[in-house]
Amino acid sequence: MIKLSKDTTKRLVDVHGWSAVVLGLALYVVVLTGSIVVFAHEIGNWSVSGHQLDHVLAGKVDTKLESLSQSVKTEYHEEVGIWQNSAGYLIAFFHTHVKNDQGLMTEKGTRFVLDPEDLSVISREDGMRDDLPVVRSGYLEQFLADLHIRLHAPDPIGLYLTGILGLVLLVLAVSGFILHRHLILDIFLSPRLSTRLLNTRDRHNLAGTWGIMFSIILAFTGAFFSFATSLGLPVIAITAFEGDQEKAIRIIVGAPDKEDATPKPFIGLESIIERVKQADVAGSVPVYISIQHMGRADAKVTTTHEPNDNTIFYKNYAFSGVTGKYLGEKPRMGTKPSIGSDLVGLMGVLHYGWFAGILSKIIWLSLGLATCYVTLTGLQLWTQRRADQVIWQRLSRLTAIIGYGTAIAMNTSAIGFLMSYARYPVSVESWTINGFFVGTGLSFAIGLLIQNQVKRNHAFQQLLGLSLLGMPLLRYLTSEQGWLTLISNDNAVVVSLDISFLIAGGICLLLSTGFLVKKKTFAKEKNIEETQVVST
Amino acid sequence: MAAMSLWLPEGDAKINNLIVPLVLFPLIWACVFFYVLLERKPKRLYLTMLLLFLVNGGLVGASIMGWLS
Repeated sequence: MIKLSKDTTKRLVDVHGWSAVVLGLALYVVVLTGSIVVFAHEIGNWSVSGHQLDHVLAGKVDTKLESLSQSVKTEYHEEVGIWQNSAGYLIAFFHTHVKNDQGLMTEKGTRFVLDPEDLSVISREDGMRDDLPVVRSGYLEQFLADLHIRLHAPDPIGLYLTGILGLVLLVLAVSGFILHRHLILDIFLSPRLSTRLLNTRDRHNLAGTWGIMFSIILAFTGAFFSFATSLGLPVIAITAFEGDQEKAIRIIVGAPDKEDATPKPFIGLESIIERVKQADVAGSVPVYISIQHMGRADAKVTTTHEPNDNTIFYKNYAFSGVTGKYLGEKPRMGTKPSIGSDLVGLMGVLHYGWFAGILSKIIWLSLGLATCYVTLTGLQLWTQRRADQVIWQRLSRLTAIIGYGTAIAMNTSAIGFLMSYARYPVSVESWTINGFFVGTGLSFAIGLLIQNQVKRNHAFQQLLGLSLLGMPLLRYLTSEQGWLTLISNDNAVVVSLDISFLIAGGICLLLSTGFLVKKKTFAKEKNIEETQVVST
Repeated sequence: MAAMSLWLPEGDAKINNLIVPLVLFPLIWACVFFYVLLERKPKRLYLTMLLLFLVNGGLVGASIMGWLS
């Protein structure tokens, strides 16, 4: 317990409460979507009923890459990014770096989407990275990730918004930590049933105690990711490079100082991937490949690999693009290992929770949901303390609408995606967005039309449960991929998510019947009721 | 944060002075925020904040004017 004066405590309580009242619901949306997006790759895989073909990059890609490179402008050979998306499609983005309308550095080039089976071109798009049409097969994953990263607001406004919310979460968590009187004791707190208010406070303290360190970590790393490129980099460029952002990025990314534009044939990727797969290098197939200055004497290939049993970090390995010679491990930032590069790596590990595979992701999801619960119970606490004021009762109702509505809208966006992807793939973007709005609209309708709080919550739980149950059913009906087929095709993750949605949906429907919840009668309220009965 | 890039050691990779301020920005902001919130003596608070502003602003201004190169 930290001892504070009365004045300081009051000030901290005010800051803790008012920052939650003003921005708590927006924060809830970002944290809930973030908790789900921990499984973005798995959700992307599920949304298209599994990979068509894994590890395409380990196959024969050189001939295709050569023909693609000849069909694009030479300036786009400056850098080529190649990766396989969650649906298994191979994406190759030939690009150069330019400034956009806001004066921020971005990529401009040609993007190919290739069929993993025969590497035939499914689509070819030219333009600035942010203006390129979506890759349909990965749209649900992208939609949910964008909701978390920038609330679908344009850059840099969206990043500023989520960055500010990150800082608000930091204020809430740290002020909660300072104000907390029994931090260790409250880990084992059993919520009291004497009054509704005390019960809500105990539940808020209990969930807050479990998630406090996680909230601080999430808030810190989240604010870093939002502000690093949108605000931090331009500011650093002004002070350290007289406003030259391009130079700042070049030094941070680790581009070589000396360039050699002499034309030289590119060695190809197949031999490099064979080499990097060996145990003395990465020992795995890369998840991302970057080719710099393709077709020049200074061409360089960097392969990126997922964390494995030996490391919690994503690792990069560099090769000459002319001879294919292994040049050594490439730091994430700069050209030599540094504290700065390691710190950025650590930020990713702590924010995304990928350091121990599926186990750490489940922990990150659970603690994220605990943070959501803390936000909602905190708002409940605030409104219950002001139960006689109409304005705060409206906030209480809005809290329920956003609390259930965000989850419902995410589910209906997935339903919109599933309904369009198999039959009308051209409309996948509009169906997903419309699905989200349908879920939001239904949630507001329930929240505004049903006056009784218990009935309203049951209606929310029914809608949430039905949308969760509908998702695996619709996935099966639209893709005709049953569980046995998926398991035999090494797509067990789709089955796991189907089962998770079914269980979660079932729990929501059971909750809506009131079957699982023992009717809570708070002691003081019970006494009042009994007194009223006696007096009548 | 902006002025940190001017006095932090670059390190072998010459990027520590650029990256570390970016990483520490939320922490610096939180420290300043809670200091302002918890400081009991207004005079000391104003003086500290003024000093921070002058030192950082001065370094940034000098860098923009090209006096440090």
